[in-house]
Amino acid sequence: METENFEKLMSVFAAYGETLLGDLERVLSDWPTRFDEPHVRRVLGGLLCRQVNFSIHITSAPGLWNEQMAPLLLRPMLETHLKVAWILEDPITRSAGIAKADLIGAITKIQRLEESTREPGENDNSWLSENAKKQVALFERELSLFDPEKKPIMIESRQMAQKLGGRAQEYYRSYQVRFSSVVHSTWYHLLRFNLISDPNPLHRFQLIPMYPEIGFDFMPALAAADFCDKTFSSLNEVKVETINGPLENLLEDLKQIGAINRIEKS
Amino acid sequence: MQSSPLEKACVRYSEYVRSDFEVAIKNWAVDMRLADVHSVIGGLLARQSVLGAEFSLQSNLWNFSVGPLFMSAMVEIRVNMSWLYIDPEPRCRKFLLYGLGQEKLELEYKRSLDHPLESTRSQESWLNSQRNEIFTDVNVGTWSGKTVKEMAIEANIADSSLLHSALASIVHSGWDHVFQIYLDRPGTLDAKAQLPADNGKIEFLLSSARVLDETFSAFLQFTNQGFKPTAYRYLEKQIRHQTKDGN
Repeated sequence: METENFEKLMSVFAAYGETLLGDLERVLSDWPTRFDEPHVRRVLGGLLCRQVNFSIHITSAPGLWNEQMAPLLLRPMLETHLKVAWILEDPITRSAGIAKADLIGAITKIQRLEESTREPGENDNSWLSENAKKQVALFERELSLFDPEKKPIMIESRQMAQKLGGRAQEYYRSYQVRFSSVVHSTWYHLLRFNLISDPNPLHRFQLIPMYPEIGFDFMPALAAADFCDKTFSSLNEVKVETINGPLENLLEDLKQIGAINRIEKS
Repeated sequence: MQSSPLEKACVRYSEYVRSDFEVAIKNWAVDMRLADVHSVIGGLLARQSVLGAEFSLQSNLWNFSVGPLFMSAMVEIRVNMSWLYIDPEPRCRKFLLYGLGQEKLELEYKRSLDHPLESTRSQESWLNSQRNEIFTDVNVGTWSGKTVKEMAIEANIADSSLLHSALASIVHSGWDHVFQIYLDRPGTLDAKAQLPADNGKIEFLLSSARVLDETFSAFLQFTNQGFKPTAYRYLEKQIRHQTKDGN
């Protein structure tokens, strides 16, 4: 891509980032009263910030705009979107349930580590660094903030998508396998990007490992903006006031510099 | 725009990673009877090299919000490869068949979503060129039937499993990660959600380079090569010098 076009593209995504940050600030400051129960506000607000953070990271880093790297951030964006949509169906029960399950899981993980590394005759907690002790204390304090009556809820993204059905399930089915193949570096991914067929029939067209050329295409940045917009929209559906996500402005700006037309033509 | 000494070192490091990979693969004598082993293990080494090199070039990713996503993917490759080395032939075949099952799963999803026939047909041919679709099983569990922790213990690299386990909640945006990073006062009821400062930490770069170096060392041992990769030694020396010079 020519330097001038690249700079135009970057300024469009920079403008998108600023609008997105403004929208996030507005949503957080005008938080709807119906979600003002402290846990709901904290959990949904935290996840929304996480989603915006992902989007800003992808849209501002052209080095990520390729199939090798971007899905490592796009898959958690898909998961975060599903999580927000799933919580919104029953915010009070689910925000507490999912947070409690994660905190209990984290505490158990540290405790199991303690058991597995404890040597007979040694001080029981000698292995546990001060940092790990502080971590457990923080998790326990956070856990104590949630209503003890609310049960922890363990649920995977696939189950969330299934329960949500409709468009959420469509997103999951459209992207999950491809994104997961990049995250877990499965054969699905290796065959497309890290192996090339030897043209010599005497070598039985054997697959040769290769270091691929890293492509450049802003579609992953657009996908990140799209996921973020979906998450804002799912909040929109249950909020009284309307949030105008910055995706529309981004698409308009991309059309203005001719970037989208080029894609449509190709 | 002028590059900083660290940026220049990272560019050089990424070049060393690529050349280390090319030398290691070139020196690996191919046994035509073990085509799957060559493709799977070599493909994973290529993937690990790409991740390590590209991560080093993106300093805006060296933070707690997103750095662990790359680290986790790299640790998983390190564990998978070490577990494959124990019994390469059947395990590489298993890895390959799992991937084909994923291909079939995606096809099923596309069919359920009424994707254009053209896109499913080309994927059908792609899948059938490797193994007939009707003989391909879909497995929604892990490819090896074991957890990363179990594989790491069997491969005698339990430390890798601890690291992988510590990164898991960040990868899946668990509340135990999100509340610490995205709330202004974690552990308090009136905490407000906010974006983190995301200050870059060079430790992420060094950790990823170390995982890549361990992956190379294990590969070279598996393939009986005496060659010593240069990338990690170069980066570590550069960072040590630059830290000393206060750059």
